[in-house]
Amino acid sequence: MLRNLKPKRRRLLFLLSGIFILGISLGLALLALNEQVDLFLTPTSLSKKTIEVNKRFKLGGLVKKNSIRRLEDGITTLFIITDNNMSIAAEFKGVLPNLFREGQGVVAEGKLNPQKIFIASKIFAKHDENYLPPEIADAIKKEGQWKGE
Amino acid sequence: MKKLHKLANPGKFYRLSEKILPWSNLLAISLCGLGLYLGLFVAPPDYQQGETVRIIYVHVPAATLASLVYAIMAITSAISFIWKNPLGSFIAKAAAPIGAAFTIIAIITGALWGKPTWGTWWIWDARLTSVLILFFLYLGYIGVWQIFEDQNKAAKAAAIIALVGAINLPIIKFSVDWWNTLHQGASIIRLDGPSIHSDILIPLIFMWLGFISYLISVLIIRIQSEITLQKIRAIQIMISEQK
Amino acid sequence: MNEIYIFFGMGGYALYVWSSFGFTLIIMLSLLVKSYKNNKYNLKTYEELKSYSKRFKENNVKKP
Repeated sequence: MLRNLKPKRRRLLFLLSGIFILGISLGLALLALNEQVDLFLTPTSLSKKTIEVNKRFKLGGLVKKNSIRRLEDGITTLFIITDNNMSIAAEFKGVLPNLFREGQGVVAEGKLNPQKIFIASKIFAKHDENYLPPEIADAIKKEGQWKGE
Repeated sequence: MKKLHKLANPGKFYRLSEKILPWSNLLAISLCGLGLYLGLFVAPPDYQQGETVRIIYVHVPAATLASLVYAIMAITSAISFIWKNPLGSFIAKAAAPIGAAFTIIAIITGALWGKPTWGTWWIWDARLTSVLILFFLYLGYIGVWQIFEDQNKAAKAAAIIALVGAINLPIIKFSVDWWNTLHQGASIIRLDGPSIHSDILIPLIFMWLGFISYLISVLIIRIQSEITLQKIRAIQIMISEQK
Repeated sequence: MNEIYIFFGMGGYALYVWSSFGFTLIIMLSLLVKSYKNNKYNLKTYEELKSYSKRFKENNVKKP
């Protein structure tokens, strides 16, 4: 049947089926690897699995409002990582990135201690997809129309 | 359709491209100039990132065109494979170094943007990793043209890389939706409209159009170069046969 | 003077902002120049080959 096709059509068919098969197999592979491709766990996804104490992983979410506490030693910061569903207390010693702010996204690398507190050794600030001039962000916040945070 | 066939003739393409080139040059210079002026002098800083947000004016055009050029490469390779048209593979071959340049610009400016905002130059998340793969695909594609002595074989092997690699394009685009990443989600192409304020978006659009014009100019120059190279080969073959 | 200082200072992020623009400019310009020179070189080679092959043909015709 394929032999009756014009060469042009045959090459087109060959190409399309090749791309289709490759796409499907790569899609399946990525689906199987789904969790490994994720950069971090959220507090909710963490609660669904048991992670041993002292195993390193990345935890991500938002820095909970009014949760940042700086200890008197000057280098330790305590805060809460939340996904608006579950929350986990975290501790970090060191210099924080500039965009580490309450209500903003954060990815922390570290491990759980026996008290289930996340001891972070690295902090990355995640920023959202909103780009606004400062005055306008202030104005929106004043009007109470703010959707973020 | 007939017109398209005419365009697919290298000689016709060459003459048409000569007419486009001065205009794309002019547009590239004026749009990039205007975009830079607006982006550096007029646009406000971002409410969270401050002045670092200005890196967006080179990072986003380069990153989007890095993918776009690969898409052009894949489509023209497919056309040349199906219709056995040489112009398609000239275009793909000419486009590859431009795409590789845009990709490395996206990666380096991304690192320079990530350090002060995220707190790291690099992270192995799905977006950054898939863009790095895009860069290697470009290098592989360019390498294949160098390795094969026989240009017809090279064209075929390169077309295979271009087409197989095209699967990476949707992964780059949707990586930030499918997986959790450090890189933020899409700001411009969104169902609920752009989440960039127009004061920042407008200079970005000018820069983007400027980059597109640059792409057209350099692509034309490189395709012309390929067409000339083909003519040189034809003469060389003729001479060697007469000897 | 102060305004210029503020402009180039980029709120303390001068190094990151200006290296981004600088790197982009260097890559784009060098690709443009390289492509342009390559095209000119190919055109020159083609013209030379064309005149050579013309002479070559004429000689070939005359010889016998």
